[in-house]
Amino acid sequence: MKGWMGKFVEIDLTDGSFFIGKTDVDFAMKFLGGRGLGVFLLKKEMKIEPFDPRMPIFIGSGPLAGTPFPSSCRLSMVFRSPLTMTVFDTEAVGDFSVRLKQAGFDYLIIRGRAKVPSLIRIENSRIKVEPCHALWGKGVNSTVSSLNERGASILCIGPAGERMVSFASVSMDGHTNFGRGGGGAVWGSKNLKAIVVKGRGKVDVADCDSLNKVQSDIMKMLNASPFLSGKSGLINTGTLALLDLTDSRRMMPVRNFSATWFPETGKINAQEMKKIYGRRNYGCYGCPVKCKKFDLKGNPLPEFQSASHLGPLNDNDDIRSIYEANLLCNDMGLDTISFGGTMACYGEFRQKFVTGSQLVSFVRKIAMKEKGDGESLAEGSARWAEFNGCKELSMTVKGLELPAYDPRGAYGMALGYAVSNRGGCHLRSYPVRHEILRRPVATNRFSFEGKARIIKIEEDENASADSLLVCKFLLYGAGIEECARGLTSVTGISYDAQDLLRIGSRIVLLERWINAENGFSKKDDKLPERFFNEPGSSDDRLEIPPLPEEEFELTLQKYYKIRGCNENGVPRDEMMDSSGAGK
Amino acid sequence: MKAQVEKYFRKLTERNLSVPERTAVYAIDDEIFYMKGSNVVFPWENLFDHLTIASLIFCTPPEPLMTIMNEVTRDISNISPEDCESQTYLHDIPATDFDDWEGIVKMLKERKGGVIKGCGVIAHGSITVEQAFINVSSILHALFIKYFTDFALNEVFVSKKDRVKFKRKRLGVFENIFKNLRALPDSTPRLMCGTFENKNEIEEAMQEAGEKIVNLGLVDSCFGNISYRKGNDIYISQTSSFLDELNGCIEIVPLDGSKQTAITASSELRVHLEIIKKTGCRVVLHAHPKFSVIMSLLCEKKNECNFDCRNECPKKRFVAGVPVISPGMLSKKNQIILPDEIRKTQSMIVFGHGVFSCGEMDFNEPFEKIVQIEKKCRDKYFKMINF
Repeated sequence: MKGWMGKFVEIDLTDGSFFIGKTDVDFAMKFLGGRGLGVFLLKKEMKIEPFDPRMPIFIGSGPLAGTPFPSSCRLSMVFRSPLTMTVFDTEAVGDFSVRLKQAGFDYLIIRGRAKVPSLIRIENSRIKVEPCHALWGKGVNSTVSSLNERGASILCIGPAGERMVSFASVSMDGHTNFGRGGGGAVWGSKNLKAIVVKGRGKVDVADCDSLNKVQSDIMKMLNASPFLSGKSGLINTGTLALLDLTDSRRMMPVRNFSATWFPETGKINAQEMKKIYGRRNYGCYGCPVKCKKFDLKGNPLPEFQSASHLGPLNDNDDIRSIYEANLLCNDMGLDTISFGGTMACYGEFRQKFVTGSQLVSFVRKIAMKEKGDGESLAEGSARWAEFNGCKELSMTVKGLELPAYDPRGAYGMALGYAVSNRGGCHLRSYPVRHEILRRPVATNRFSFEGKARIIKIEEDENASADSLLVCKFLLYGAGIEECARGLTSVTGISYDAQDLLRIGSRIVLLERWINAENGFSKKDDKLPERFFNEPGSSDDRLEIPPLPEEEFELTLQKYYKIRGCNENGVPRDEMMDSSGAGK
Repeated sequence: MKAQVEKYFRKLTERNLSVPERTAVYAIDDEIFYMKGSNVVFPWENLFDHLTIASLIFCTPPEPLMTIMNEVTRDISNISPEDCESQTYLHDIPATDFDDWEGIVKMLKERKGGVIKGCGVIAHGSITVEQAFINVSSILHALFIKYFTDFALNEVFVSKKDRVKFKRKRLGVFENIFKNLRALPDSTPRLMCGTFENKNEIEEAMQEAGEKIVNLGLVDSCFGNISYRKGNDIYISQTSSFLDELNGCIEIVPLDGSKQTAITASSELRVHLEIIKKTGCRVVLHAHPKFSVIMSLLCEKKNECNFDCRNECPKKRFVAGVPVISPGMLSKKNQIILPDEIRKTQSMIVFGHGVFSCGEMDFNEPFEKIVQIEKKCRDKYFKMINF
């Protein structure tokens, strides 16, 4: 086997036992790795409640990690989300993926519940579950500092995960996060604080010459992409560059999505952040894009989604509080998008958004589940709003807080949010790429025309990228065609772009089927009413009307038809069989 | 979808990329929309059963593109393009036979498009019909450049014996192609006179220049880019915008970096900025005139030099009186190195890519320069091969 390491580990935290098994070649070829393999392997257990000790967590790498293929060191975690109750995968970028493979494993499956706070150490084939009382209660930064050793990579949770906050995250090496869906809470429910991995193995490649050629082709394409390599591209500015863009396109979520333009954007944008904190690049293993930006002290600067949700979404133009709340969310182990979304819902309900400094103090209140607001808001905006009788103020899909693109400014994104298998997420499909960023071509952002098929294809493409664990930003320069050539070079097994799209389709369909088994259907593929009833912030030149509901419904039905689902959004049996998704 | 299909059917024929009777344009959402010429009988729509795509175009190019396509793909099934754009986005261009259905499906599974020998070009898009159109146009542009570059390389740069053999076999075909080449106009159209004081004027002038340069056939896929500097702002065409459809596709980028709107500006914004800085001009126009590209590829020192022309060229080289620069000099991360001579010539040719020209007042100056450079390159080409 080339690319894949051929082994996995299954660990039972209840008694600290483990089992090393062989990666099934057929499954690996059919689902690639990461998201796809995780969803496939856990599908039978997805009816278990998220905090039940029997609930497994999958943590997996992909076949390209550890090879020279650019931007391929992401890691995937699959579980059932306590926030959305859907099947949930989340990806983070960093060294863990490569270290896991160097230790000889493609993936881990973790079950059970440790009796005391514990951590897992993996060094080559030595695997140990050990108590870690001293780390329990510590923030992410001090946990990483305590466990850090040469050649190791660390996953850990902060206090929010320990207290099972519904949107608690898992950190990788203190730099990046498995942000969404509350994976950190599932770790907390298992008394799992951290995993440390190191290894000395290497990943074999079938055809190095051909891989070098693909790598060189990809580099040319990345260099030609203004979104990546341009003056304001991710390489130079980081994702924060998008803040000015969403504002100028009048699709920035402001005051809990009640407006789409924020006059104070110039006070909190990338240029201002750089002026105050400085800016330097942080590069993930093997990544030429280096989109992460750190300040001169070595702290991560807020990314676009975080800055937008901690800022305009909460009517906050205080750049220092945005910076501090972001740092504290990272240290406490909280998803900044869900935190920002929940706080905005709270602000609108009270008819008064909290101030910048109050926002920072709420990070701790929620992470520590402090009695009162802290404890109730830790459930996320959907449950909080329902409890307080204001469901309409929760800007969520399937319980997941919507990210920083207002759907009234990008109709493809509206459909993408609604049908996303893990809830309100911009990364299942990413129509913003063509609706706003004009790559590879521009589409009319105020039209549903053709969007049903486009969303389907993008979902397939992204599911495939999440399973190869290639960074999605790579797809904004190069494409799935180059990924297929890379996979062929690494594994020696012939794949073309259409094979990868077919695999992606299989994965999305399987996720949708798992959700349907848990009672999800068309009733859950819907956007908050606000978007159909209220306009965005228009100006003299650009009108932002409410979404046309009838057209949305028609496009949703087209999507179901193209995806192979019935009118209720449930996959048809014959489609499950023909796609190879299985049940 | 119907409107998209009709638009690109029209565009293919208006831009002389396809013969209407032999053109088929398809788009699919939950059902297939199509428009095809009377002579298209093959059911290309069956390809949707094999491919996860959103659009498909089959076209038969008119002369001389048809003969060029046949010549380039005569004995090979994989073409390596010479021009930078095609190298970057297409990598290579596959070719297969009309009666090889499996081969056509395989070709389209692996690549964005390709050549069906003796028949035409086929390409697809995963988002819109526009993508398929761009792929068709890029393939034809790449084949044109490849044909004339290879012909000159055989004619000028190989041994006399091989040259005679080659010439005897292919000269008749070449004459035929030459006969059908589109002539450049004797005079260039007049454009709005500058300088321009407000946003509306600037955008109107940019749209006019963009449209007219496309009409003269001086860009590939209607691409290229255009900018106008006004105070602290540069107005520049957005990335992936068609020069003949710039309405609503112009980005205003502040030069002091106070806003990051450059993220959707043309990928060549940095080159535009550097040209403005070096020359003091306020107007920049970039196009891909074919013979300028071809002549940039035909360096006289080719056989005596070990440098990779695409990365770096240590020699000063001029074509049609303007400097030729390696693309590598424009893609350095921290620095763009332009030749000093651009201050005087106000134009430069990027090796295998296209021409940048600038002006002080309005688009008349760079427009005229690009047309003149292309004329000189074309004359020089045919003189070089003694034709």
